Amino acid sequence: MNEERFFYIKLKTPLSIWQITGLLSWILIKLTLIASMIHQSAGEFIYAGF
Amino acid sequence: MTFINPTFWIVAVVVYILLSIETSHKASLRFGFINLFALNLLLGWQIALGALLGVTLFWGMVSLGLQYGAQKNQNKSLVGFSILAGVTVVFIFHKLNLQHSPWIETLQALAPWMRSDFFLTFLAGLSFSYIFVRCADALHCVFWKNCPLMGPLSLFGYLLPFHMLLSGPVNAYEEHLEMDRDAEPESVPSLDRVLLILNAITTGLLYKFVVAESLRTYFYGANGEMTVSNWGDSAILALYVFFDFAGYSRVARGLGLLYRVPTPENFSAPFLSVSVTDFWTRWHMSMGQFVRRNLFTPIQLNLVRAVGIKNAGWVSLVTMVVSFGFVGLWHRISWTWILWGVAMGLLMALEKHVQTFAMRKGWNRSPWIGHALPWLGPVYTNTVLIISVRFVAEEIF
Repeated sequence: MNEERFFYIKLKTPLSIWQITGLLSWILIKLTLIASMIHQSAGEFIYAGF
Repeated sequence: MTFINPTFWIVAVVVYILLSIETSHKASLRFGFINLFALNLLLGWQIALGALLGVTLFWGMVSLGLQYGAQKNQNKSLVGFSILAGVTVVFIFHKLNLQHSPWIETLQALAPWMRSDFFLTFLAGLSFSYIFVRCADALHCVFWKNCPLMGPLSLFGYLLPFHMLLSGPVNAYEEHLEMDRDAEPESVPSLDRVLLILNAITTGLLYKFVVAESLRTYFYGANGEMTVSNWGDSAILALYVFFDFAGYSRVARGLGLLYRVPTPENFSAPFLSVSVTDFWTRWHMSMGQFVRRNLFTPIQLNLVRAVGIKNAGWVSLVTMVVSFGFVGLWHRISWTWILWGVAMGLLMALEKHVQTFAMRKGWNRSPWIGHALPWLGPVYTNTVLIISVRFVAEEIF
């Protein structure tokens, strides 16, 4: 089995402190956007219950 | 059970904590047991135990079939096909969407013990279309590829994984089996790994709840329903379905990475595809891989053996049409979806002939084509996509 495909996210080198800070900020921005939008949505997926 | 429900996320965290506890049991068995617990919390014990009963019945039939097949080897395929036919009948029953049909009242009057009203709601609640393709994949592996049959609880974890229950992706039986061969994971995941998993999950949520829902509310209003009355609507619907489905798939993928349960990728920049054939290797990829494993390759091999390599062109055409005819029927059992599938199959067969012709003429070495294809290819593919979405739009919702 291709282990990388399923269990590991490719990390050629460990993330630098700047990459970690950038990624963490991007995750927080996304979470803020999601929190601001989530009340407007019924949250149903087109393929749900398919 | 949607990603908007806080209970889902509490259960997701509890599942991770439980999976982190070290035991001597196989990974697939451990996941199967914890998955039963998760479904019990999310869907209620009646549905979770009902599903476990169904999986155990399926496992029992496969187990008996394997024993019978071992005694009479020539009947092994026949036994496999018989079990598949049984599962297909349930699938057709589910897809015909009979909950609101007068036929269901007749059936209930004739056979009240069947509780068909409850049964159909039960199948829809579990997204049986995905369970059906997983059953088919397991049967193919066990009866034709001689893979071992996993135990009922492990099989439960494969067929009804709670994080892939709502709408896939279609995980492969062989890859789920491989879970047990992997070394024990590190007890504390690295910060990098946690961040990248969180990134996958939040991107999925962003796709669905920010991008897809913004598209819907911008064009159709906060409470407006999506309708397709012109080509623009068709393009918006294609975009909406992408962000809705790819968002869902990315969250499922992130959770799969967290739990170390094989959860395949489902989308890879499909709107940049240079042909329809390319598109189907980038959109709902796990379904495409299922069709290739279980329909396209076996049918093509057997047909070529039967009619000879000289007729490979016709074989390819028939195989494409049959494979995509199935994909159409899998979406819905209707003439619209059958025609959609057949048209896709024919178009891809045509693309293959054009590609062969172009290679014979040496056009593939032309620098002009090399520069134009990445630009003109997506224009052609997205035009086909918009036409096909308009064709089936009435039956998407």
